[in-house]
Amino acid sequence: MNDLEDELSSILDALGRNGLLKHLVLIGSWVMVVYEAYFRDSNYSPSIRTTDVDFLIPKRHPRIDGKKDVSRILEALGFSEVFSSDGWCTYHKPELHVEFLLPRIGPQSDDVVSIPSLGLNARPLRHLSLLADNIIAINFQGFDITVPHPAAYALQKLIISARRKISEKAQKDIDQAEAVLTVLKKRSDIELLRTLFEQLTKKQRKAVLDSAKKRVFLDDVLKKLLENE
Amino acid sequence: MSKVVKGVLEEELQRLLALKDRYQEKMKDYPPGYLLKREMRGRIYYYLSYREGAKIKQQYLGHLETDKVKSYKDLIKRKGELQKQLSEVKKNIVYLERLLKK
Repeated sequence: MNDLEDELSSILDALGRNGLLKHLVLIGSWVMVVYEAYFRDSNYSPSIRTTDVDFLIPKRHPRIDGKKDVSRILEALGFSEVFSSDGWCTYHKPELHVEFLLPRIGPQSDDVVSIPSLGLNARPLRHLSLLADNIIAINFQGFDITVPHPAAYALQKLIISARRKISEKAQKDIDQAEAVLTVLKKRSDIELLRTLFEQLTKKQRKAVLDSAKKRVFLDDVLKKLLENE
Repeated sequence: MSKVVKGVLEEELQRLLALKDRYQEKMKDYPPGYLLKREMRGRIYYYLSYREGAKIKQQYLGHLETDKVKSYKDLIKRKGELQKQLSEVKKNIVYLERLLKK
């Protein structure tokens, strides 16, 4: 475990002790580390992580026993709360920062949403419902963490990669999708990948295939996974 | 370089080394060299021309239907793209190895 993983563990521990881990979905590049415990495959090599730890709140009104204050929990770990001009709060330390996001569905606005039961404000973002609707629990370093199913994660990465304006970020999304799809071997996982792909809109399916085409290896892997037996 | 940054870069290097092996293995799925066309007595024959050590070898494929020629061309084009991506991975490995030695 490296220093950053120690930092992540302390966040997970604090959220877990407050009964919040089941209400939050870990997303972003840190999921790639957690997937090591899911795949247990020596061929799996997670891509480089960013310094932000992103949590997705799958439901706008999570049913939580008693009111919680995530700000206080994180401040107790040494994080400082930073407000953006639109009211979004993120939590910062020199090594890491923590952000909370919500799926933005249909015509909902981009306005930051207050989640009183968690004592925080979250930012809605598009294409996160694919992650929120397909979650699994993985035991990582003794914590039961809720994460998106790897199949959903890889598809979402390929969708957003096609929409990125910054090429480095688009490449990073593809790196992550490639790492996950290369070791996706369980029959049930492959079936889920196919089902989710079929459920995507035509535009999203095109985005997935176009992003995969940028890497010959990934393109071949994805085609094989999506082929009907 | 901070311990945290070094740790992250070392992991990235491991990822790239694994990726290099995977891409190199994948290269074997593609035909070697390039497609060579020759016309003899009004008929077109195809060869795969490739280098083996110091020698240039030619593998006879015979007369090919249009779709087969297209399929070979597509495979060779994909191999070229994969080769380019492999070169990029190798370049990043060299860069990270140099950075981590500092």
